Amino acid sequence: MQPIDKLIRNQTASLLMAIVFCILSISLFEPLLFWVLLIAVCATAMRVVMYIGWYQPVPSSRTINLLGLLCCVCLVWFSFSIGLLLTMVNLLILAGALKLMLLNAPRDLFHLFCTALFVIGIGFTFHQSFVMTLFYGLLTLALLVALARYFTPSQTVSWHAKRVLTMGIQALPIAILLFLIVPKLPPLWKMPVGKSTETGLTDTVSPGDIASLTQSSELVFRATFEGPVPEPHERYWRAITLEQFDGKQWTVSPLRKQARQQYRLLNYEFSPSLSGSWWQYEVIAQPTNKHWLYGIDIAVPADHASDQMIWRGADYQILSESPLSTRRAYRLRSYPNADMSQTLESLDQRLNLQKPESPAVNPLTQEWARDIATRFSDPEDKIKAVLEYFITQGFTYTLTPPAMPDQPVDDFLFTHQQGFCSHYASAMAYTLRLMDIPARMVAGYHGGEVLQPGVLSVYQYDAHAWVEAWIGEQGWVRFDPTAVIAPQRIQFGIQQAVEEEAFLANNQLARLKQLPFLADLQMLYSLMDYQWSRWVLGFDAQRQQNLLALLLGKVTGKSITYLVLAIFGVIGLLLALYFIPHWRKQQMEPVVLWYQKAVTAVAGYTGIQRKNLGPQAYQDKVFAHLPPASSAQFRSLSEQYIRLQYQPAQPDRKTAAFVSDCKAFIRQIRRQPAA
Amino acid sequence: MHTALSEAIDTLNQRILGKPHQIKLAVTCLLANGHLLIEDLPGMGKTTLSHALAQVFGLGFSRIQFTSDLLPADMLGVNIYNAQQQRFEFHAGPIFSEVVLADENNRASPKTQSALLEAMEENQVSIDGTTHALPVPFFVIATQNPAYQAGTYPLPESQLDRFLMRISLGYPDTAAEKAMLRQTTPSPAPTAENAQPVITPAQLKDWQHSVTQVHASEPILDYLLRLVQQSRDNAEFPYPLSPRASKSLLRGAQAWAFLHNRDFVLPEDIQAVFTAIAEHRLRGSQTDYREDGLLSQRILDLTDPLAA
Repeated sequence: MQPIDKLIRNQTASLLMAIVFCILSISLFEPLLFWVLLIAVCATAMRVVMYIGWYQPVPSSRTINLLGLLCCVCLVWFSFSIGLLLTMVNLLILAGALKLMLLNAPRDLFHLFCTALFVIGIGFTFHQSFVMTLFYGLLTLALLVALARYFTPSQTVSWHAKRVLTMGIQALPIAILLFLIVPKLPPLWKMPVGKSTETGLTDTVSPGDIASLTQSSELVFRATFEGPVPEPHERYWRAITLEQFDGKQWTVSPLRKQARQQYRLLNYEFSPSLSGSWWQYEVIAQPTNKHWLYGIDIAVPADHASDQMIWRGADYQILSESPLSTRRAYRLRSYPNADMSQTLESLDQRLNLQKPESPAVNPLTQEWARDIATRFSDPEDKIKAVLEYFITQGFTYTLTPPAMPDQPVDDFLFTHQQGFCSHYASAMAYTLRLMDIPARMVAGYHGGEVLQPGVLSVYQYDAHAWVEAWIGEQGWVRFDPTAVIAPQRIQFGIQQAVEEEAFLANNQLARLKQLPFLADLQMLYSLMDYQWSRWVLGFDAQRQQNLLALLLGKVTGKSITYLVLAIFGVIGLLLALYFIPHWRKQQMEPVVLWYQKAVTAVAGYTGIQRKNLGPQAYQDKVFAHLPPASSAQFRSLSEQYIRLQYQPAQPDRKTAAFVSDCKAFIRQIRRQPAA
Repeated sequence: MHTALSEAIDTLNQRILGKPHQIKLAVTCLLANGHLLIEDLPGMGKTTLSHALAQVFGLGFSRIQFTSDLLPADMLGVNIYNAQQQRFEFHAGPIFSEVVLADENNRASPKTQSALLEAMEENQVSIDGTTHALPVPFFVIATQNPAYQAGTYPLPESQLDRFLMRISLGYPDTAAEKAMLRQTTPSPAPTAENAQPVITPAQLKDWQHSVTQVHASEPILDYLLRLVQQSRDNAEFPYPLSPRASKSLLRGAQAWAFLHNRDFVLPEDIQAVFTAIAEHRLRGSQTDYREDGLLSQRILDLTDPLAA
């Protein structure tokens, strides 16, 4: 007889599963540690080699145990730097890979199957795009084919594929129905937050940072407006307000963070009074693992679900209650014409006049600021003077300014006179503070590409920084020095502003975008992805409510219950229509059923299981072990059973009598004390 | 029941000591009108058993010793020109006998093996365009040396399938062997000449007919099909059972029930004959029998004789 492991090894099923597992691991390239990925690929290679028959012996379980132990030690070491979530993902892949190496019993194959399904689930926490969903769907089908292939190896793979596909398509309507109506419960547990490797804004901005972001064409968020999108010069998406300056870098002020925490403890949310016209829109933000959200000033949540999710800061920043570990949708209403004056004036003033005190830091700028301050007294005039300086001195806008390590503001203002938006914003905010005008830097995004009417895609290369200054009654007023230096940046976007420079020079894909055919294709993909995230990923409790309202008119608890019950009923009915014939076929006859029950009672009393014995053999076996009265009765039962089941049919089949005899026998034997 | 039948079995048990189960299986095979394959090492009593079977049932017996140079004509017979009558005359070969012992079947070349197996399947042989019917009953007992022995051509799976049963005698236990030695030492064992037939061929034919009348109820057929299905669905079994195998199983179980004086089949009957009927079909030609566990036993263990 062939040992079972040989069979498993030579089966296409295990090969197929190994390949699926490998592809899965590779799709998790980003969260996985390199060596873990390497082990997964090695395990797959091993399976392939075994399948082809180049090398047969399986490594002994001792070897694998040792390898597993070593890997665990390594993983614990790495876990300190990668965080809990990624450690767990790595552990799962590692376990799967080791299991793959050891695959030699059917049980191992089932373990691997379940692990792979779980890994697919995990894949969705890292990739949620339309294409990846399709990809994971296909992998799931491939896994199912592998499993089916294991159970009936005589059929061809294509036969299995066809069958699995058919069944998948049959299940699809049920899945869609359930997706639409099953209540969207809040998650039962929290996802541990991974350490981010994403590109994007951080809460410390030095002038060069934003320039490097322009090399990335990753999507940041999409906004869907009710009505037309705002004009380009109005699209200032605030992400972070930076109020602490150390001469080189801008950071979120620790005092601001403290204040925010205190307000949160008191549950006192900042709510400015709003006036003027507004835009309402929905934002679908890509995961950043950060708290901040994007909105045009002054942004307030537009519905209850968004309100639950958003915390409004006194610096007009909106923050998510939990970090954005997955794509998230929220609805906002923005009042662009409202004054940003109702804020914590004293704290704002104090924070935004802070500057590095030492006279050695940027001395030229300090002197220049003093000079302007003596010439003008009105804050607005001072600001105008600064902006005029930018224009008259022939400043230029560039993505690749020279390095200014020592006195960044001095060097920028008086030596090089060329820079990126963040250089201008930083220098201007600093100068204003030197002139006793409260000012701060805002990092965010500006502009965006119109995907279709009403829909705006914003990419990392749209990152921008500008200045806010406090002007008397008006409160915070936005000044964008970039708009003065390079108005085309604001009007047409960064691509136009730095045309001659190597925009996205490092990004091959973006360069290809210049081919019209590929541009169309990418546009199509963007559109599809947008629809996917909007209608499928964005289908939250709120949307569900709306859908139900559309279907039922008025949504009450009762009507929802009825609808859910009705749909479950329909699904149940369809399944029943399919399965009941099978069940009926398999349902036991009462004779067999009651004989089995009697046998169970006998086995309970004597401790002798029937296993695969026939009625006669079992009767012979237990006869001596039963108490005399019962043994005779059981013999008669067995004889009756044989007569009913195996002898030629008699005209009077006394099924009912047999059943009642069985019942009497079971009652009797239960009364007997145990042997 | 059939006193004659139990008497026959007793006689056989006296001739081959300590193998009552194998003898019962051999008789079952004969009653089920199937052919028997005995696989064993030399000297285990294969030939003695077949001699005794033929003789107890009063059947004509002939023996063909298979060697690698045996040709089909040596076995089936030839047409020889009769110069006096000026025509060809058919000289029947040793196969025209009611019991044929094909000894060391797997030593012959595949060509000769196939000729025998064809005769077994069709119950007739064709020579030079003339069809000659074989006697009824026609019972082939083939013996086979284990495949690992030198100079053997393993029987292909398709031909193994034509034997209703394969049994193996195996070593007798010490007591039986001692009795055998005692029997042989003072006087020679009864030979084919001096033993009296217990049963007439006509009776055997009647019984063979009665076996087909043994009742197999619906649950029995279901159980049988579950066993067969198990071998087809489960990846553990490299050679699934054919429909011919399920037919053989039913006939074998019927014969076993008949032998036990019942006119209906019990699951126990199927279980009793299952290994003899299914094992050689499940295993294919090359692998040895007792390497590790019986495949047929595995199927029996996996399948509940009562409802699924």
